[in-house]
Amino acid sequence: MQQKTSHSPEDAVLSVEDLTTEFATSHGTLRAVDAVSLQVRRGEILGIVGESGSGKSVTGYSIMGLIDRPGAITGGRIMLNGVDLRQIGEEGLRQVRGHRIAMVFQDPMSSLHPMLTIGAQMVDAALAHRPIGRRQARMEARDVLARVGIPSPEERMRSYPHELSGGMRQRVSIAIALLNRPEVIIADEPTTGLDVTIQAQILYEVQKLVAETGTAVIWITHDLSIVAGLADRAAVMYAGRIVEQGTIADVIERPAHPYTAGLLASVPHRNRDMRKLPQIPGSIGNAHSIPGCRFAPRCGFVKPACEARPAFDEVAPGHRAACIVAGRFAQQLAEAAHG
Amino acid sequence: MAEQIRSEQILPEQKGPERTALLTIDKVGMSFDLGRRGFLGLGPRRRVRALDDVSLEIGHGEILGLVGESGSGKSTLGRLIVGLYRPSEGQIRFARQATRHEGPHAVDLGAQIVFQNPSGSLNPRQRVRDIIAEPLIVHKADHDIAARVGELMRQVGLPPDFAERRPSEMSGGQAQRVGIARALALEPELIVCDEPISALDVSIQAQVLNLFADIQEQTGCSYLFISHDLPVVERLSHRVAIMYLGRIVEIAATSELFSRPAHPYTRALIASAPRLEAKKLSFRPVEGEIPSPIDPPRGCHFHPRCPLATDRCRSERPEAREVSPGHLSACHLDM
Repeated sequence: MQQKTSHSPEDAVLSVEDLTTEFATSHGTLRAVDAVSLQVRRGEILGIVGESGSGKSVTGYSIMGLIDRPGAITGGRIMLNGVDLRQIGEEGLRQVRGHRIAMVFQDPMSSLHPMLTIGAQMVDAALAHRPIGRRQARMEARDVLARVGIPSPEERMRSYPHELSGGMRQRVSIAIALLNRPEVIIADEPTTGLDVTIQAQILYEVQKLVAETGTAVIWITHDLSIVAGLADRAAVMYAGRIVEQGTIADVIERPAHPYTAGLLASVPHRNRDMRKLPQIPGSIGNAHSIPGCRFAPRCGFVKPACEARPAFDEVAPGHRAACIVAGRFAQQLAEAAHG
Repeated sequence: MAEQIRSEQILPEQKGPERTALLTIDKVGMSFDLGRRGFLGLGPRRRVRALDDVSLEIGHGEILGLVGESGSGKSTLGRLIVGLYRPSEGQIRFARQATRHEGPHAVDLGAQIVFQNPSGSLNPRQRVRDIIAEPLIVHKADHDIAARVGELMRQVGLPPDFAERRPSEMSGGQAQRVGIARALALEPELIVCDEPISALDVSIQAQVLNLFADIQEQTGCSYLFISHDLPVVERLSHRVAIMYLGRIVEIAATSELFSRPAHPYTRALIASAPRLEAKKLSFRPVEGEIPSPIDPPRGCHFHPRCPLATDRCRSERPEAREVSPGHLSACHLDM
């Protein structure tokens, strides 16, 4: 695997800058995504990792332009190959979604039409975006089903979604996302409901597809272990902000943010003899209302200066962390994370 | 070390001493009737064989991990043990001191269960205080109930003012602590934990797992810890049993099972589990779907997905064989 260290927005297929998404609630405005910046390049898999309430899914939905009232994108740019998706209007977005940028959802049953055969919905998806004939569309649908590892694709095209297993349905969703050869696929926890052997099959197919097609992938998950095995780079989110971003080796082996280190430590490891796991105290609570570092109330390194929002600075080329102590306690954090 | 990342003391090795059996599961089978299909329901009667000739022992103070994917029967086994179902075949026996928990509810009192979905397994209209007190009231325990509820809440790390809350006013981790307190109320000798942390966030999972370890240390009770998460089971259990489509395919002490897995399915599972240490995925995952338990494959249930399957595997059911002392594997092949 080639190491990717520096990322200028120019060579990125998708470049998100200072994206901010807010929701009006009865308790006031909730900033679910707070000035998030990320890039993903051709043939690259970026993992976005976070727990409930981190804003990882809202980030994905925002990029797709799928935020509805009471939510709204209130700031930032979403550049897909140099074009800002926030400036092209709803009709422009309809052209782009499912064609140049596609999404795979956690629950395939909610994104597949229950009363259309797999083949019919795939043909529709192709014809909606490209001037090709029905026969050509069917052929392409069959090819892409075969590519995601579906046995006897011709037969499966005549099936309805409910006739397939969960793993097969998720493969179909991925096939539909791939159908129009998008530049970017955003996958939101697509293997969370699946069994481990089926999940492993899908992760394997996705890596193969990315290598073959050069599609850029943003893989949203709560599971650091999946990101470690699948992605090239990772962004860790907490309470609406990216707190750390870097290559997999940076984030997993040399975490610079105390939250990342705490998360890594709470994943059971092979090479650790303790039966009890180190734990991050407390819970996310209403961290969204904290103006400074939102992790400060749970952090063991907290300083008075954490009351101001920390800058998202580089600790090494291509490795950023939003923490005032980032880099200074690198050794301790690595030990905390890996025992 | 920073206070935030508390390293707990190191517990003794997981192997544990030879234990006497607390619970013996003897050739248990469980079938569910799915009714008839077809026009006017005149089609053939369909049955799911959720458990097929399962035998197992859980020792006093032992944590037995039970791992399997969908349709493996792991939850059915847990529910049989706490008496939510009666087995269609075979027996489940508790060895207990004659003085403890006699009478018609013996099985129900000896084992308690913690469910996967914390909010779904708590009555939304009850307050925490009443949820935890309910087993004490139902089973006419002669405790001072209010005092016992307070004690249980302390034991699971819930602040006293939570007594008045309802499940909707708590996070998933807090609700799961209520579920654990309820299970502990009658001092069970065995707690069946049915995927108790899989609905929780990663940082909360570690907190609840540590709570399970604490409780086991304090009370000496046994756990049947049901999970699909191999690293979690490896961390917590003394022994691990692997199930596939209603049968136990392998059982061994934890370190033995993970260092020398004998059954091809166990090997596939271990290879499939994502791990932080794994860089890019470097293996070819086991192929094929998990077959339906309504019509499982003949012979060895795993043979359609097994890269090593022979004709014998396709026709003859493999019996559990001892591959080393205490390590059983149900596979025809010599691994």
